[in-house]
Amino acid sequence: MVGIYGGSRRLGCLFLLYRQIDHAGAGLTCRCRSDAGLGVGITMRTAHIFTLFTALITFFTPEFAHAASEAVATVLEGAPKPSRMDYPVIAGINARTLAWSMAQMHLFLAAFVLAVPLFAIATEFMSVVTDDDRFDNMAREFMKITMAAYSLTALVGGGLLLSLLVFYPHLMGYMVKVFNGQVLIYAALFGLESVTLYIYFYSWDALRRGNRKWYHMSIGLLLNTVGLTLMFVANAWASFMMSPAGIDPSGAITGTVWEATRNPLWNPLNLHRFLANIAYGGAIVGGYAAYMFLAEKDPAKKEHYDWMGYTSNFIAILGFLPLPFAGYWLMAEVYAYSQQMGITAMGGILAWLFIIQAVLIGTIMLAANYYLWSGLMRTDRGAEYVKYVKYIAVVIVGGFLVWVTPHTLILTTSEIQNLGGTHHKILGPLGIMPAKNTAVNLMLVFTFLSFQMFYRSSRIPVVSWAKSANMVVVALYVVGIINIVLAGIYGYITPTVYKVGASVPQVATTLCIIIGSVVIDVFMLRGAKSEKVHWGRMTERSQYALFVLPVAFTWLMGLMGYIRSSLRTNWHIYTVMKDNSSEAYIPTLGDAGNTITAITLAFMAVMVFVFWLSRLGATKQAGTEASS
Amino acid sequence: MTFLRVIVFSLSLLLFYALFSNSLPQVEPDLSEPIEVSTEGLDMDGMIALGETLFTGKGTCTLCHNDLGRAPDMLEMDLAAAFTERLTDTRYEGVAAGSEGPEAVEKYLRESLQKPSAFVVAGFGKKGSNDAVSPMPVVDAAPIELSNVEMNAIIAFLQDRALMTPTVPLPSADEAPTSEAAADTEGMGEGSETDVIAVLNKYSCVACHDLDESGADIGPALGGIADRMSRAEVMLSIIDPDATIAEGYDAGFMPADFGETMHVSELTLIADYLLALPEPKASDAGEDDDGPATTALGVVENYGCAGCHDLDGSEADLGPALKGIASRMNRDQLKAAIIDPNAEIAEGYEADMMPDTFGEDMADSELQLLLDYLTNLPE
Repeated sequence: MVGIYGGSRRLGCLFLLYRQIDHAGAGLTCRCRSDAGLGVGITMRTAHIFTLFTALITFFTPEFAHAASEAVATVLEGAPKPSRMDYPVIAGINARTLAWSMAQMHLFLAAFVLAVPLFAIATEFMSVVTDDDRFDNMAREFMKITMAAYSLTALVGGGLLLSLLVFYPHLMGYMVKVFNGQVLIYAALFGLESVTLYIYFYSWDALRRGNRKWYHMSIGLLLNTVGLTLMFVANAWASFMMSPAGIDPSGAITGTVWEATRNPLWNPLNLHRFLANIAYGGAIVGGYAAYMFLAEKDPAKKEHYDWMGYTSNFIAILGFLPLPFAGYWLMAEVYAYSQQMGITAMGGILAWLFIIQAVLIGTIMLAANYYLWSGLMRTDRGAEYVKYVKYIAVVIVGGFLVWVTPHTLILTTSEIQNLGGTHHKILGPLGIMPAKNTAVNLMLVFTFLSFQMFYRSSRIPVVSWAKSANMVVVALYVVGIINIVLAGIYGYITPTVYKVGASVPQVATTLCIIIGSVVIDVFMLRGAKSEKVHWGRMTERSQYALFVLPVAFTWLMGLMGYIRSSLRTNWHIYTVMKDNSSEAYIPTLGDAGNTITAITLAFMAVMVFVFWLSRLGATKQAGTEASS
Repeated sequence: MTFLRVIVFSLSLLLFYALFSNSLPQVEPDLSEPIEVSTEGLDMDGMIALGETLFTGKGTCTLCHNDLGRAPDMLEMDLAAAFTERLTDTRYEGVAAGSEGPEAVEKYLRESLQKPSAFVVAGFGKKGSNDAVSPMPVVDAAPIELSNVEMNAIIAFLQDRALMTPTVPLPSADEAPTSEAAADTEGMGEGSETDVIAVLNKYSCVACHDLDESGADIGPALGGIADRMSRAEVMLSIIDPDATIAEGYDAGFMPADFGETMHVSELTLIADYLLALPEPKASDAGEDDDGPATTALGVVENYGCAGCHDLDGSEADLGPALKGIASRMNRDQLKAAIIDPNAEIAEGYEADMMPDTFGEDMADSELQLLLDYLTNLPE
């Protein structure tokens, strides 16, 4: 009887949930219908599948179904307004620092374990296309490191959840109300991620050859799909706190879960984190490869790890090149959502933070380029390109110096008198966006040129039109660079509100140069005479450049986490739920720097443990090889 | 060894980033509790002064209304002409459309504050909205949350700038006080002081003005100021000191940025304090009448040393801090610095700030007492 009653109640809830969630899907469909007729059918099907999937998950969770049936009663309640006394104080623990550290550590690890499967499957695909087992072995080694990091990611994620529930119960209660069943979807996806990850890794050898390889890659595809969905769901919560949607100004829930999810900053954050994860994962694996290169004595293994380091650096820079553009989009959407929030970031209390960002990105650019230039010695023809390195170095260093030039200076009265104003007459103009946009675009173009030089150093084109193609490539660079500089100058003479817009042609030009050069090279170097690449012929010093990347990337991610949270100023959920805790203020750059350094240190310690674990798994005690 | 080298290298890099972030200018957070300031009894001049402070402070209006082109530069433009133009704009269909005069401007401004998209000045709309949607936040909602009185004050300020007589109602006794919960521009400034003496020290008022027979004379003495100025005039003189210069004094001496840096509560506290200052007694007018001070603290008080120098953690910073000065200067050097302060200027400070008449005004016994006091100041 209880079972029947419980079942019918659940069915009622299922119907209710289906209607609620279907409303979300309908919202999506309606918007698409108004945008264009094309694809409406697909969108409707997607929405309904989403609805059904969500309803089924919630159906099998009685507690949640019960909570959902109560949702109608709580829907008109606003966001909670906890007073300072409502925030638990436990054993003198600084709640914010704890939650900050756990969140950041979880993000570092999650970014790594989500990114590595992405390029593992890409590398696996390369092994199928090229029929080269080296790619396959490397992809498996990538995954071996991920496996060791995965459980730690979950562990830290649990710690984060616990710290939030204990120290910020009102916020978490409200977030669960807003996102309703999505929390359970997240948990279900996490389970699915675990299953697919284990199957993907442990079936590697069982599904290595022939058609089975395609089954294996399908599992990898599923793993990545689930992983990305997990990230998108978590991003919805983080971006909702910055740009809430689906609620009224008091915080009362007026929309659907989908509306709260699809808040104004969700997609810009998704793209930014997706690209950053790829760059970050590449950098971490690059650091691993560099360490192995330095530690190994066996030339064959050195050769392998040099190749792995090069590939990882390539992946890191591949993810990194479009990252500034994703950053522009994110900031443009921040401005569009709230000018105040945008100005807080770019022109207010956090403006100096971007000088630190410039130093970090400058370090990354210099290190990545140095590594690429060092790589020219791997080929015999590489020496032909070395003469260009000094010019590229001048541009990279020059761009870096422009980027770190501040605009607004905090000066004493006497300093202002000595300077003749609040801005330096010569260097001041280099502190504003047109100069920085020009600098970063030129840095990206010349970093790509470093890549291109190494790529070409091992290939001699055989097509008759190679000379003409080379002239086109040179013209592409020259015209592109002139256009970037001219667009930068235009940025100076246009009103402030259009300055960011002036960066669009610069970005487009950079992409044109990169894509145009790649297309020409692909056709021109098809069937080219290959020169031997002497993998392993690298200096030890060059490997330290690969250590710079993970350290700087990790610190940079911590810094970006600090700014993203700081944009909310003293709000848990911007303009809706005020943070009335004793830590409701933006810490100084120094304090933030110290915290980020401590978290980075902890992460490095964890990664050393992870690398050690992955090596331990391959180590056999003397005398046990035969029996095993 | 490889492992150690890698670790040391990575740690060095981390240390560099940490040191770099600590070497940049640090903006200290505002940790003060929100305080409420009574606006009871505020006259229209006070409202205008309050409006200016809110416009540049809590209202965060100047974040966008400046010369960078994000929004009309209301502090520089001809507001009278602009208001006329807006009210007659064919695109404007709001509550004051087609009307004119100060009341219409008041309605227009109030509507703009509460419903910014009711009318968007051409070229200042959100991108892609064809000037139908304003990027300006609603000011009586989060995160700005201005009260009615505060909105009235801003309207009064803007009407005054447009050379109109403000038409907003004055705050009544039962109206909500203004709150300074978000008085800073997103936490950019320091916390506000709630003790008037702390406020006076914070802004170094006593360094230049004689408030309690200190003898400071860089600015006019302020005893009995209530007989000469209204509350609003006092507030305006603080916010815009060069607008009216007292006879015998020069413009440009008093900092002109108090309108931006001073909290409303602090401005109110100072104004109330000054208006309550008594007229100096005739017998107290010259300190010579009292004879030389007989205690070190009496000397310090008579000559207003603490107004500029930090002697006890007061954070006065017009002159160098003197805590632990004995470890940096001997008695003779200190004596020379008091008698002839411009002979040698400490790094970061300017000449001609400290009176150079102490050699004549200060009795030798006072000088010795002061030197004893300074040479025994702890770090």
